[in-house]
Amino acid sequence: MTLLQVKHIEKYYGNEQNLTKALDDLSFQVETGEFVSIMGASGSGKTTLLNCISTIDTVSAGSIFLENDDITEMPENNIAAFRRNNLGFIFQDSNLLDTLTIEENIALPLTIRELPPKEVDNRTMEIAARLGIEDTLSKFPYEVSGGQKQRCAVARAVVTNPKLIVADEPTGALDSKSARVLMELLNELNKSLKATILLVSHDPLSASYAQRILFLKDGKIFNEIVKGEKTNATFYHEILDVLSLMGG
Amino acid sequence: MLKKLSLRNAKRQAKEYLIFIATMIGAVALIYSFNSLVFSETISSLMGQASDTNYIAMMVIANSLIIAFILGWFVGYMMNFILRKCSQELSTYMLLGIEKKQISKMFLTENIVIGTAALMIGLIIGFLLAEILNAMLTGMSGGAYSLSSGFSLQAIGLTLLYFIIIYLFALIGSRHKLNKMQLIDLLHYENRNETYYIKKSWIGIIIFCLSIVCGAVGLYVLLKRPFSNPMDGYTADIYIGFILSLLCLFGIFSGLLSFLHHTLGKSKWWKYRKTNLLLYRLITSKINNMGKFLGGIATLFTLAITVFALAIAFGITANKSVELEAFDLTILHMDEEYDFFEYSRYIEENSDVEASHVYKLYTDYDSTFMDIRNQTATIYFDETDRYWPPETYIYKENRYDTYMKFSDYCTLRNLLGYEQVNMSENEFIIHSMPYLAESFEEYTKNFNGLSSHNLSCAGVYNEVFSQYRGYGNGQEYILIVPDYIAEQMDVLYSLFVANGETSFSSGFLASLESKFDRLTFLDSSSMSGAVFSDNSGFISKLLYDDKDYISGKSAGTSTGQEMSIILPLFYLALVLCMIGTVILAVQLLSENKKYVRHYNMLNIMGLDKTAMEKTAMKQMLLYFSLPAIPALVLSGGLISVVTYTVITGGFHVPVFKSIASVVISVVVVTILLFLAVYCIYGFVSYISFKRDILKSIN
Repeated sequence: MTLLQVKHIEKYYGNEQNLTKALDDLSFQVETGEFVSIMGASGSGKTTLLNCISTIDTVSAGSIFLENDDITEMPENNIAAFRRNNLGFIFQDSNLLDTLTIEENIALPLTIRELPPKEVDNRTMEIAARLGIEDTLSKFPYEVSGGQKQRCAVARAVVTNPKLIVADEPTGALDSKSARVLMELLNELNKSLKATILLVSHDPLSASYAQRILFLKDGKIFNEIVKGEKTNATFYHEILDVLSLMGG
Repeated sequence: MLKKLSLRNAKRQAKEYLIFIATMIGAVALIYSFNSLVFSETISSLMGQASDTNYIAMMVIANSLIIAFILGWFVGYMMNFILRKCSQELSTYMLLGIEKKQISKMFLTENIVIGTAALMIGLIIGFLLAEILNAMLTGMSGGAYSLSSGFSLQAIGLTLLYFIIIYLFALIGSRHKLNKMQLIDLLHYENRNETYYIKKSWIGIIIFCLSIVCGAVGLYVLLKRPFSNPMDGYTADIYIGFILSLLCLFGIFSGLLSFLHHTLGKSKWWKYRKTNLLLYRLITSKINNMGKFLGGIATLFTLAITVFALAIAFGITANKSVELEAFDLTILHMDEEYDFFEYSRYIEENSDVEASHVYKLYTDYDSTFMDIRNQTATIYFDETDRYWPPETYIYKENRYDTYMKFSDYCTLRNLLGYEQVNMSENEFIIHSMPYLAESFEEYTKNFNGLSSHNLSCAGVYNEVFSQYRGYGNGQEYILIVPDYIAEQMDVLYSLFVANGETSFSSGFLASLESKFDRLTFLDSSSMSGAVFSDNSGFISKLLYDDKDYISGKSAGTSTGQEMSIILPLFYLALVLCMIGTVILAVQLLSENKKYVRHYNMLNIMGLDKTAMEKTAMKQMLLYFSLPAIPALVLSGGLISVVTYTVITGGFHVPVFKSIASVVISVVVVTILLFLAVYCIYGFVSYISFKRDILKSIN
């Protein structure tokens, strides 16, 4: 079943004299439970695409459907509720609130949904146990490592059971070991929770965990590869080949 | 280049710390206006006497010095704060090889540029403020307002002097800090005190509980006053209550974090409801960063509120004193019938007299009604813990019952615009202060008749009739009898009373007094100026046998003295209130970037605009309530005791229907006044806070 449909979207920046086309007639779709990576060089439009899909930014033309809702036509007043009910976010620098403990950071999106306190607590504890971060729950973000912060960010993103998890370079600020652990975690969540993940990354290793990769160049889809039955190593080398073809 | 940088930074600071600059401008304006006022002709004419003018000048100058030191601390605090905020930039200058001395000079130049700009603007606003104050005071003294000729040089000189003190005080501290600071300190200066939580939190809880106990005991001492009496102005109670309140204020904020952590923080049921979690953490992080400093701000507020209350209580006392005088002018001549023609002619020629009257008061040396007065007054003295015999509060000349002719009474009622009353040849009337009415009515119910003529009582009247301080129409009461009965008695003294179309100004009364050698002012304060006259223990204010005594609404030196206290108190309270509020506002607004980040994240997670506005509003309310609530509660006690002391100390008999209602009204008015100033800053901060937060979201 198709969860996300991106249809002929365009995004322009600047004015008539100095127009930058960040996204150029871009279309693709993502199935429910799919793990899709978007790769491309700096300035290729991948973060712009993610921002448009996650309603942080608006498109200049085209439509984006999440299930049957066209989010490009959504009234401004409904956008926050849409994000609250459908999306989970993971950022490069975790974006945890530094005045809240790890536990409270995970619970925050549930309190924003105004769920009963008991349910907030149960779900927070459940996801913390699943992600193996129970030991850090009472700590503040400045008291834990970067890897632990990102695990907390993942927990915060999935605790609400969102339809789509959007991750913008989640391993960008991590060392290689922490990055691998995080990607395995996302992979596991994708499999066990059937979570749909849309990941933006310039790191081939991180992207290789996805089932499908879209390569962006100058705001257009340059190439698309599917993992299928390939091993991680084979898929990784295929990614490198496409990147070298793109000149990135 | 460095000069250019200093100027550019000063400009940027002026934008970022607008609320601080505005407060400095306001403070300079207040300093100038009050100092300008003491050198103005308005104050000279309002005070009437040179000694009072000097007194108010001394009070304002002393207050200004106190304010200069407080402002010095405030400016120093703000410089330190700005230094923290721009420490990254200063460290970059250091990394580029600029010497520490030059950086220090640059930083100080920035602040002096800002200070000088605030001084210039403040002086202009101060000039306007002085004109407004001038007009208000002129109105109070019944004179005509005219625009002053320009800036007061003395006031400018004094303002400059205070300004130098303020900046010297602040700059010495900042310069010392900057010179001692190493590059590594500057690099990490902004991040200091950001660690969260005190580890031994049970100590915090104990401190918090002890603080609450201190506050409760302090309030009890202030409200119940168990340790002292009004004779010493409840000094012991005020000191003990105040010290306990201070301990409470500082202790509360030292232990509040631990207390909240162990109560609200551990209750998931509370924490995870709606936006509680976010608000709880925003506020606790602020308490963590500001810590005991909030105790200092709460103390500043407590002082400001108490000083406001003192000013209001003195104002009420001063107003009541004037209110108790029925006539604009009264001249008393002792013992005999007297011709007031000379005075009367001068007054008519030099003022707009509406009506005047000359009459005599009489006595038959009986003291039946004075005994009732003494019994009633004794009950009040007991209630207010006064242990002096009632004779202490009776003037020698008024110690017997005082009588007035009915014809004079009718004329005076007419002069004062009171409704006319009827009385037959066999009746008498009692005109007394309200507190005696019930006793006299009770006494005259089973009454055998007044004097040998067996007069029956036709009624007790209570309008203001110049009876409070003696030497007017009796001391607190007078008996009105048919003319033929009064003529059979001895003359006590003669009186000339007059009312103007507009109230006679104190300046006019002073000129009247100086025109005639025989005239002198009657000390109009409650008991001061009275001397013990003889072995009987009665007192008298009539110090010279060959003098006539002036009293009246604007004649009182007490009004002048009260003004000399009220004005500087308002001045001090306003500055204290402004400083505390600005520190709070700046502390919050300076962290806007952090809050913007927080709220932006919340918006991404799906918190909508309306919910964010609500949360921001709640955050502001909670933040501004933190130091204000304990300050308001504790100052409520302080206000009560100081108001009670001022009110009961200001009048020797009850002049208010209920002292409790006066105290409550002072508490309410003071709190409203404080909240008005507080809300202005709070509102400005909220607007700026909300604007920044909403600007950042989608």
